[in-house]
Amino acid sequence: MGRWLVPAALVGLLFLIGCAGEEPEIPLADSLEALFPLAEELLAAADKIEDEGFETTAWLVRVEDVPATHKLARQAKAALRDAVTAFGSYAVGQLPNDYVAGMDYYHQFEDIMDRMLVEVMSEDEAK
Amino acid sequence: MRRSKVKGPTYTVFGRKVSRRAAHWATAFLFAVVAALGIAWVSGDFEDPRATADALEAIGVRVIDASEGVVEGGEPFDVRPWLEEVDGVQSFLNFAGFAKDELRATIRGLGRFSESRQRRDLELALGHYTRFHRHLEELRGM
Repeated sequence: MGRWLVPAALVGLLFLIGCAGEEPEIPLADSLEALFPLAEELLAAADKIEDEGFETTAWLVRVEDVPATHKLARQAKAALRDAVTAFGSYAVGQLPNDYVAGMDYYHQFEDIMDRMLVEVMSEDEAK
Repeated sequence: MRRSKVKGPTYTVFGRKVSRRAAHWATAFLFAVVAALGIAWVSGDFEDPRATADALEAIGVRVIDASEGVVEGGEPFDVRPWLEEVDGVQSFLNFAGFAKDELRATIRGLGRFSESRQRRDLELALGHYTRFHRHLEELRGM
């Protein structure tokens, strides 16, 4: 029995060290709340690219400002970044494929937002 | 011949007699250390993927913040300190390496844009930035 004490203590210590490094999670609802207005504005901006152009860097800065630690929120941000850069490419080259790619990424983003919404609602119901 | 002070059953280790009890404890301890190191290696504790991803992401976000000044203010973008900062993030995992490559490409692209002022260079650099984040997500998922 005694001979397992040292290995068990070492494994336990490693586990504690691993747990201590975990960063606090940002609630999914907070990320969702920050992403909603961005989604609407991005769609409106995409409609006006030909007339008003598209400020890709400014958009990326706004995306990075969204707090996200949850996996779904991170996925949403990734899809939004892809959409933003695709719209930015369209603004430069006016290649229809870039616009189509931007809309595809935007739809991916919307799908992830739907999944986030379902998860937030199920969390609320559980409470 | 001098008699050993060790009592009871013994083993001979490196020409010295040690008690079996002490030898068993030493073996258990060695196994424990090797097992703990093995677990740490397998679980990636030697390089915490999340910590590496966080460090790279923090640099990436600052690069994008700086790029706003380059785009709007027409400020020059000095590539070298940024590249040194990326190189300073220790990484052994493949996805960390891929992420670093894309971040370097972003930085070089922004440097190119700050000289050429061609919008196409900027968009290409930002394309690398989105791929950088894709690799970060894969790194976090490990």
